[in-house]
Order: sequence, then structure tokens, then C-alpha cells
Amino acid sequence: MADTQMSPMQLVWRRFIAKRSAKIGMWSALVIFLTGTYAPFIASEIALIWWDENGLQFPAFASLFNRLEYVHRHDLLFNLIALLLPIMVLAGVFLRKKFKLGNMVLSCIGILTAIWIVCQLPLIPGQDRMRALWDNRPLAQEDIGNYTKNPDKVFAIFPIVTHGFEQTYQGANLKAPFTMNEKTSQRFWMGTDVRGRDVLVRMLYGARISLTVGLVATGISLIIGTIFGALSGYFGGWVDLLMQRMVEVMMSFPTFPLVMVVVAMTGRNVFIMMAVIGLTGWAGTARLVRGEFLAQMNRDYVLAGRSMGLPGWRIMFRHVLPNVSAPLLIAATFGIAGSVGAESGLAFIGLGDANAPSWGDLMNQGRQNIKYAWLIYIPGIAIFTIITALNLMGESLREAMDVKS
Amino acid sequence: MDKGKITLLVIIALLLAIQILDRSREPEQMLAFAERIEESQESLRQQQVEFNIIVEAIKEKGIELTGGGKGEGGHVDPLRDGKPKLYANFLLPHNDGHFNPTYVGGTLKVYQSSPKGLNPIVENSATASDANGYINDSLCSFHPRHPQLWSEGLATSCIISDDYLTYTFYLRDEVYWQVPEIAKKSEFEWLNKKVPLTANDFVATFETVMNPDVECPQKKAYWDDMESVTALANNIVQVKWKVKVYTSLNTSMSISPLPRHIYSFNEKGEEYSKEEYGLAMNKHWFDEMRQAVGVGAYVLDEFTPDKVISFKRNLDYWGRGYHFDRIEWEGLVKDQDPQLVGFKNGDVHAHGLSPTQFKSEVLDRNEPRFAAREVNNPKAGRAGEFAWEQVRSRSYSYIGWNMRSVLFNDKLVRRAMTYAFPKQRIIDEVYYGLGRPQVANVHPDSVYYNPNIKDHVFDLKKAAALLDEAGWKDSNGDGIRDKLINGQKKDFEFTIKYYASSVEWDSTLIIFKNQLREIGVVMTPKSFEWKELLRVYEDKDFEAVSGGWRFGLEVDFVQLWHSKYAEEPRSSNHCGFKNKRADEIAEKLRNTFDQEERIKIAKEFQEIIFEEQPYTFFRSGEGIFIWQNTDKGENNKVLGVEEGLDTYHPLYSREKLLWHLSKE
Repeated sequence: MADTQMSPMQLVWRRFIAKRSAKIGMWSALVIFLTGTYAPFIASEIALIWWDENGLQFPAFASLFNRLEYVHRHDLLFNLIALLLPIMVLAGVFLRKKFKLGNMVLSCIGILTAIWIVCQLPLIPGQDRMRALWDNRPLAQEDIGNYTKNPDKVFAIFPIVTHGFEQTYQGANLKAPFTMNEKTSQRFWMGTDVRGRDVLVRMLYGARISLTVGLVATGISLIIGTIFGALSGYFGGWVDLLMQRMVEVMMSFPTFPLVMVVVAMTGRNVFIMMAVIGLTGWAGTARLVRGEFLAQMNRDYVLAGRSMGLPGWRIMFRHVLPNVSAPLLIAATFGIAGSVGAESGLAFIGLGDANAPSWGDLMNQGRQNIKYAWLIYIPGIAIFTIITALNLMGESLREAMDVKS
Repeated sequence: MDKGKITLLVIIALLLAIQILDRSREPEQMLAFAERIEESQESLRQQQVEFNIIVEAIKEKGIELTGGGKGEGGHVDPLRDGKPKLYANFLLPHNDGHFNPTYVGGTLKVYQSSPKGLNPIVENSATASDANGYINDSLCSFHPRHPQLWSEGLATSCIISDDYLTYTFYLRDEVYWQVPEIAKKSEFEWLNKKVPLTANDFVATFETVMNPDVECPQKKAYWDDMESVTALANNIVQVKWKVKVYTSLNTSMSISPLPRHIYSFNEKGEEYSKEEYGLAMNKHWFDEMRQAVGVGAYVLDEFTPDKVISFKRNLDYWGRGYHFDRIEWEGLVKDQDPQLVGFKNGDVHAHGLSPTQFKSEVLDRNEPRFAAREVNNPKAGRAGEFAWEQVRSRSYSYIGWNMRSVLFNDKLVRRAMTYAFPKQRIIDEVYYGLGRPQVANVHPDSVYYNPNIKDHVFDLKKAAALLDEAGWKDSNGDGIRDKLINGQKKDFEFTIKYYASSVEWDSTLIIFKNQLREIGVVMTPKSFEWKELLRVYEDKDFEAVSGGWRFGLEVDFVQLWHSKYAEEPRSSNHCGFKNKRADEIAEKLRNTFDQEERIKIAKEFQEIIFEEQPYTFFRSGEGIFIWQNTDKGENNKVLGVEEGLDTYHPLYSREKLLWHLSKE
């Protein structure tokens, strides 16, 4: 093989993608990610294209940054991704030669985060004061209700499912799958929940919550755990002793009950849940990183760096950390799966955000209404799928990175 | 003849003449005399009659009648109609018409969380007072068919005097305290004796409640205006009040006696000193031994806190209790779904369904043993193997608007909110029809209810028009209404706080939120745990808040609506309702005892509340009551429930007076 041309990352990637389980896992995760991201264009009461005497409009696009339509801030992030993803993919295809894949992913994440933050800042002049793009609130009139009133004068294209994810349909609570919605004469393909909302649409938007919680919570625990473990492993001695005892204290708490207590005290909010899951889950990462650091500390390149008088942080994060990133990446994949499970678990026992379309919340409703099985099976299968997919990916990644095997 | 003799003769003649004349007038005089005598005799007779009446009245008021009341219809006295009045015994005779000796027997089992303790003074939970209701009795009781009327209890007569400041009760004779189970042990032999109930037992209740060392703040609040309870004789209790206030009626009539022959002694049988007593009461050895005695229909049989509590018939009871020999409260199964499974297995005789269970079991026919709902037949549920019926409860729920906030200080806005609230839809879809729209602050089943008030039925256009009128318009075209307040533009956005564990409120507020969004109002529901929500009420730290009140059939508006509580921390007037006329009539209602007058005042008060809309009144509670309706040969079919539901007042429909178990 022409392995000489490939970087280690490319090698790993090739080995990874060659595995069948990895492919299955990756495709499942990708499908869930894409349906979640493009949910506003798959299911909404708002028209994609609307053409009447006032001209051509694209209401679904205009309402992407409407805070009334999308209450949660992670929705804004996903709407941004939905808009920017095609551009980024195209750019990636054309600029593949110029930049490395790893750098490109990192810069995409950086750009998205920056835009997301900018969207929340009040920079756009409104009629009365400066508003954030996030605060842009044209109430979309071009919905299915208007259309049915005068369908002759209007040309409109609606998403495949014309149900809003927060809309409570009158007389539609706990309807079985495939029931007709009398208002829009569209079927509830996956039934409705206790409040008369379409389960299918909530499943689509629920993917956003699961993925956000998974990524953010794992991100938090990775950052904390890495710094903690790096310091501990780098300095060793009594610093190590002290920090490892702290890690042990952290580990001695049963995580899920601890998260339950904290969430019950602080309030039922998706962001708080992410923070709490992240802040309680770093101990394992810290241990892992410390172990890897201890193994790396006696290597020649570290000694060389020291003898050249490099500052400690530079050796730690610039030289040692890339060398321990492989197990970290594997841990992150499993961590995401764990966080998704934790979020669903919390929502399942009723500690989730009641206003957020979480899969766990649907299962919680199913738990309370045990006879309405679709409320259990549908989100249950979704949670099972994403956690299995992530675990398969993690497993394959571990095998791909472990050169010995 | 000489002059002397002639003068003498003339005098004699005159005397004779007078005599003759006098004789001729005699019949008239006699008549007048006889008349006079007759008159005096009449007055004497009158006095005699009056005397008899007084004697009768005295007899009536207890001296002879203390032996026990007469059954309904046995003694007709127009004054004894159950309606409180001055200087007459108004109590209805003790009613035991429900009781049929052939029905006696069996054990009634229900799920009911058992109380932590049973001390009649210190324990404050509803279950503890329910349990004490079986074990003990009060001076007077409500009539089950007409809960506005009072009938005999431990007192056979009650005389109110001194402009409703003094209540005098004559006690029933031959009532004895139950002997506790532990008296069988040798170290408690001092308890093994028959102790008669006396007036001093009621004095003991008063003194214990008023004792500063005893921890019973809720009771103390009610008894605050009570001046004294004294024992005029062994069988006469007198309650005196400092001020004339309507609540004195209820409080005086429902005093229960305290077994002071137990509570004022320590476990060795030595009397507590005055200083010791109050502190001892808070953690009394008798309660620690899980004992309780009273003079009621049932004796405490078995008591394990948080697990089980059972009662057995008091064979020495003065009246007639329920038909059951035993009543058992199973407290171990706490969750709704296992309880329902237990009911279906026949573990308990009667139970309730939550709205979601009702939807699943009855409406969606997942359990064929429940009969289906029929739209025009509220009694359709009685047909199934498991019977069910929609019953009313004494509670209502609401959304409270903080009248101090700039958003809700305008009654037009509050009215708009009510118009935007789809009350009936939510009752139908979230509560599955369990409940009725509540219009103002009095329960629709109360006599004080004002039926003339027509509710603001859901109408978004009207709501939008009212908001326009109040100055809330979307001036910048962002889809949200706004208004200039003190030179600053304010958007109509607010947070509503609600109880986190209520699935129904979750759903209600999501539907409401979607409706408000259509008229350019942004509402964000925020849930709180119970303790936190209590703080929200106490600090009045909200713009809008969900809530509910439980209430009796009597009304008192001061606590909730008087402006003196509007700014007071921890008061119940958390919305900050202030209205001069409302204050005036709420106070007037407090010292009006005349029923007609009270109804008139209450109706006017509801009109003011409805006009002001401090709350968006939501739903007066209803629930589903279920009971065993088939005999499986295990003595488990409950009879008499339907009769009870039909005859008793809707808010007393779970009264067990007529219930009995099927016999094999």
C-alpha cells in the first residue's frame, strides 16, 4: 500500500472506514444529525415558498432566527448549521488540497461558534433599539392556516409534514399513529403526545437536543478532565497525589443520582442539564489523560523540550497532548453516548425541561400513560439507535487507532 | 221631739237609704269583682303557662334531654331546624336514619396514606384529622344532606347568646372515653377504667391549644379570637369570644374533647406540672406509643406510621356509626398505577382515578370492566364490573396576575388574558372533562355562588381588542405587543411560574402559551418545586403564577382579598388585590350571621372580583371515584354508594354513611 503518502490520521481513517460496524454507526449518526439539523424544512407549519400578490417569499428561512418560533438557543445553532453546512461542505471539497481535514473541521466549529455568538449580540438596528439577529421576530403569517383560507390566490410549498413542533392541536391528544389531523387533513404518522403535539415532529427536533447535550456536556467534561489530568500527570509528586485524591472524591459520587439532585435543585433547563452532566463526568477523562501523560513524560521529545527551556504549558498542550489524543477521542465518542443517555434518563424521570422536545420527555409521557405504547417505542428506538451508533463508532475507532491489534 | 233625736233618725235614714241604694248596685259590683278575679286568674294561668314553657325550655335545654337526642321525626320543634339563631336550641336531632342493623359487618379497605402521628392538637395533616374524625367526635356536626345545617353531636343542644359572643353547649349523658389498647399491660393499669366525658375535656382542648409551648400554629390562628372555654357544670360547656366574627360559629361547634385523663399524665400516671405539660404535649409518650383514644364511632386498632392504620367499631359508641366493623387504610402502595392494579385485584373497595388514568381506562376502553362514558348519562359508569362516577371536589385552580406589575395593573389586560385562556378546551383535553369552568371565587355548589355572572368565554379577537384598548399594540412590527411605560418601550413578555410535578399544568400552560402567541404576547412557563413555589407566593415574586385553593362551603373573603394583606409578606393576597368596596363588604360579611344577608354580600363580592379579574379563574375540581361493583364471593362489593351519591350533597358524596358490604 502507498502508506508512505498518508498521515497517521489518514491511516486511522482508512482503517476506521473499512469496518462495517463503523460504517453503520457513522451513517446512523449522520442521518440523525441531518434530520435534526434540517427539521425546520422537513416539518413546520410555515411555508417554504410563498407567492401571493405581495411577491415571492421564503418564510421558513426568514423565521429561522425568530425567537418566538424557536425558544431554545441550541435551535439557533442548528438553524445556523443548516444554513452554513452546504457552504462549508462545498468549501471543503474545493479547498481539500490546501488545508488538512483536521484543521478544516476545527475551523468550521470555530466559525459556527463565532457566528452563533454574534447572532446573540444586539448589533442590528431595530425600529426602537438595537436587536440581535436572534431577536429578529417577524411573526410568520404564511402558515398552513392562511393557505387553507384562500388557496387560489396563493402559490405555496410546504414542508412534507405540516405540523409545528410546539403546536398543540385541538382534540388531538394521545392519538394513535396514522390518525388524521382534522385541521390540516394531514396524518400524525407517529401519533401525538399528551398535549396534542405531533410525535414525529418532536422526534426530529428531539435529535437536536440529544446531540447538543451529548456534544456540549462531553466537551465540558473533556476540557476539564484534560486540563486536570495534564496538570496532574505533568507535575507528578504531591500535586499528582492531591489532584488524584480530588478525582477519587469526584468518582466516589454515583454520577446519575448526583446529577438528579443538582438538576432538581437548579431547575429544569437544557443548558443547566448539559453543564451538570459535563461538570460531573470529567473524573474518568482526568484519570485517562494523567495515565497517558505519565507514560509520555519520560519520552525523549519531552526531555528535549524541557532542555530547550520550553514553558510547561507548551510542552503539555502543544507536544504531549496531541500524542494522547487518540484515547481521548475514543473516550469522547463513548462520552457522547453516555451524555445522550443521561439526558434522556433525566427527562424520563421527569427532570427534563418540559418545554423542550426531548426524547426522554416523550418517554416520560409514555411512562405515565403506559397504555399508549408509541410514546415509549418511538423515542426508545431513537435513543437506542443513536447510542448504539456512537458506541459502534467508538469501538471501531479504538480498533483503528490501536496499532498493535 | 228634740233636735238630737231628729238628727239621729235622719242619719239612720240616710244610712239605710245608702244601704238600700248600695244593695241595688250589688250585681254590677259582683260582676266587676268576679271579672277582676277572673282576670287575675287568667294572668295566673298565663303565668303558669309561661312557667311551663320555661320549664319545658329548660328541660329542652339539657336538664332532662341530656340522655340523648330523638330520631328524625320523633320530635318536631320548629326552632330546631339546624340554622344558627340566638337564644334557642337550633340543632337538628341526631340523625341515624341511614343505619340499618342488617348491613352491619365486614372490613372496608381503601388506599390512604397513613399519618405520621395522631395527636389531635399537634398533628396538622389532613389524614391525621380524618383519622381523628373516626376516633373522636365534635360538639356538633354537619348534616350530610344539607351541609349548611348543624345537627347534634356530643352536644344535644347549643344556645347562642350575647350577640353571637357566647355559645353554651349541653353535653350528652353517658358518653365514655375509649380505653386504650395499652391499658391491658400491667404498667398502664391506671388507664384501665371507664372515664365519662365531661365539660372539662373541652376546656382541656382550649387550654392546650392556647398553651404557648404547644406547637400548633394553624389551630392557634383559628382560635385567636376565642376568649375562654369554661365548664359551667359537668355537662355544660361555654365558649366565649372576644369579637363577633362569623368563623366563631364553625370553630365553636366543631371543638373536639381532649382525653385529659391521659394527656395530662406521664407514663407512670403522675400528673404533669403546668410548666411541663405544654412541652410534653409536643412529643407525648402516648403518641409515641402510637395510641389514640376518643369518644367516636371507631377505636384505633393498628397503627404503623406510613404503612397501615385500621379502626374497629366502638361497641360503646353513643350513636350509630358506619356499617363496617373495621376500616383499613393501606398506606404502603403510594404510586397511582400500582394502586389501580391493587384495586383491580380487589385489594381495596374504593379508589380514585387520575385524569390520565381516566382517559386510558375509561375513555379509551383499555379496561372493559369499566363501563363506557355516555354523554348524556352521568350515571353510566355505575353499570360496569368496576363502577365509576364523576364526583366534585372542594377546590378550584387559577392563574394569578400580579397586580403590582406594569403588565397586569390594568384590569383590561387581565380581562384580555381571561379571554385568551381556552378554559373549556383545556378542561376537555387536559383534564378529559374532569372539572367545570370556574368563574369567580366561590364554588358553584355553594349557596353563596352567584349564577348571574357570565364568564368571559375564550375569544382571541376580544382579547386582542382589549389589549389594543389598554394601549398594548405592536408598534414596531416585530409581532409582539408593546407599550411606552415611563418613556421606555416595554414588550408584552412575561414568565408564569407553576408547580413542577403537575403534568396537567405543563399541558395547560403550553396550550395557553400558543394562544397568547397568536395575539402577540410572549409567555414563558417556568416550573418550580413545591417549597420554592411557596416562597414565590410568600414573597409575591412573580408576574403570573398558577395556583389552587381548597375551601369549605362557608365563605370568608378577608384572608384572600382584603387590601390590608396586599402588601403584607406571607399573606394569602399574593396578587395584591385592593378594592375599597370589597374590603368594606368582606368585613361586613365577617360579622353578619343572617344567611340571606350573607348571600347577598357574597354575590356582590363575586361581581367585584369578576370585574377586576385578579385571577383568571380556571377550573373547579372534579375527580373520578371508583368502587367495586361485583361480588366475587369475597365480600367485596360495596353497596349503598349510589344511594349516597344521589342523596347527599355533591361535595359530601364520598360520605360512607350508607355504604355496606355485600354478604355472601
